[in-house]
Amino acid sequence: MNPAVPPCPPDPSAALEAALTAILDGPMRDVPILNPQLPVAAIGLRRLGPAWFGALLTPWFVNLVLVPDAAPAAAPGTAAEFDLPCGTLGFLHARYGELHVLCCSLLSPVPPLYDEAGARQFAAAALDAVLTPPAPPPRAALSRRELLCGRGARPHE
Amino acid sequence: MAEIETFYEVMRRQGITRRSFLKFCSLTAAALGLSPARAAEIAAAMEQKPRTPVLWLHGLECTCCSESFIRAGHPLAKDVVLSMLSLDYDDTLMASAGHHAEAILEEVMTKYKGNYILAVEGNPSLNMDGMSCIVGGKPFVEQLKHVAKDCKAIIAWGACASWGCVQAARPNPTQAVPVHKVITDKPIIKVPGCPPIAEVMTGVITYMLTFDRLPELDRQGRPKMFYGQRIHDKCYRRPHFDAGQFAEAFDDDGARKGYCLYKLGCKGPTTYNACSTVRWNEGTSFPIQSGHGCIGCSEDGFWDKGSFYDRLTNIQQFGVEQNADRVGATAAGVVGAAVAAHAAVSAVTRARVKHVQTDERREDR
Repeated sequence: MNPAVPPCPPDPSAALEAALTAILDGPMRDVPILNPQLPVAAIGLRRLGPAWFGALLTPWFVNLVLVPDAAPAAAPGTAAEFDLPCGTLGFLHARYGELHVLCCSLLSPVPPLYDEAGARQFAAAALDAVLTPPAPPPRAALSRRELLCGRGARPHE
Repeated sequence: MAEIETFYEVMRRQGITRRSFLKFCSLTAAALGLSPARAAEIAAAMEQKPRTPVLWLHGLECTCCSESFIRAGHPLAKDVVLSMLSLDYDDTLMASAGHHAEAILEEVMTKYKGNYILAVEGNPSLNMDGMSCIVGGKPFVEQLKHVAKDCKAIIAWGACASWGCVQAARPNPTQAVPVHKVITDKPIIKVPGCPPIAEVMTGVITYMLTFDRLPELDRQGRPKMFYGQRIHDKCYRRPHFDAGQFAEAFDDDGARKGYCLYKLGCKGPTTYNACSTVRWNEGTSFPIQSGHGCIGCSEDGFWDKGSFYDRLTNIQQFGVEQNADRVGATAAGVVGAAVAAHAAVSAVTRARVKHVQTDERREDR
């Protein structure tokens, strides 16, 4: 969280869930590729820069979601890229009801093999994977020079 | 046929500058999802290694794969890659014909025994001893078996060679079969699509020619770098699907607003291809962008899966993708924590951005 940008908007989890529940009860009601075992749930939302970041689970998708503090002007479908700890991910601007968000698809449709517990585990594991930097490349064993000069020191440069 | 020469020599002979060549190498690295550092590796391989001959056979097909290939976005892709191919054997593109052409085929097979790549466009028919497709006076299935005998690997271009396509659709009167049903003892890279995207074709063949190995394949034999995601995963209309905004008819308000085409039969949710990222005609557009749903042309048996305008209704077919090699159920019928975690990591990996520099490609014209 950046302390220079007060105040931070409240956690949008409830608003996201309300917007998607309205979509589920409205236009998605008779769509046959839903996974009926799944609820609408915002999972693990947290502050990330000037935005809330987390995962969104519904019967028809599991997405990563970014809710920026300032509503972006871009039309739904406009691409955007964000550098996250795991690397650069591609997002698309979207509107869920009145909410402007950016989404990154992880799974859609959600196969019937996912029950609620499985889908929640999937979403949580995806968040972990996104927020964990990739492992650094393996280093060679410590040489005598490195031991004497301090690891990583390059005395000739 | 000319003496063994490198890709670079072929290219310079065509008057292509070194600057342009290096740009081609970096574009190819980007298209293949490799880091920019690998562009130097591609350049070095193309400069130093003798070219690998490619023999391009045509069975039952419509030549749309060739049409797509020769329209590859980067001018060098078609000039360089095509010059490596057409010098040898491609009965649509080569200059020679008749006995002379067939002699070239034999010459390459002898000279490069075990070291040439066989690209197959179209497929063999087995009915009436293969009489439905005759090349050079013999059934194509015989030519295919003959040329495949000493090849290093086979590229199956398009839906025909990969899955069978329209000629293998029910009732399949000619008994057309995909290449892997006839050739079982060689590695086969499937590059499905009707046709495949030009950049995907040149990307696959450049990778094989420069690195001298097969690209990483999924469990169905498709290069993961291009067939790792469904159209739906990266479709720019996807936010409308998520928000329940659908076009219900081709001329309704939803269609005009660019809503999701699922209800008009779009097969994007079940189709693995790079159309929504690489796009077509130098990255200009793809079917969904022009207002029509995906017909799923890169999927097995797409002609026999009902109308192009039928809605997808069945999600039972979706397995759990732990990675591209393992799709499967569990004994209990639900995914456990470990499987869910694997699938999640795999999904995040697929969602990472590959930079294909379309603007640079245009600038180079």
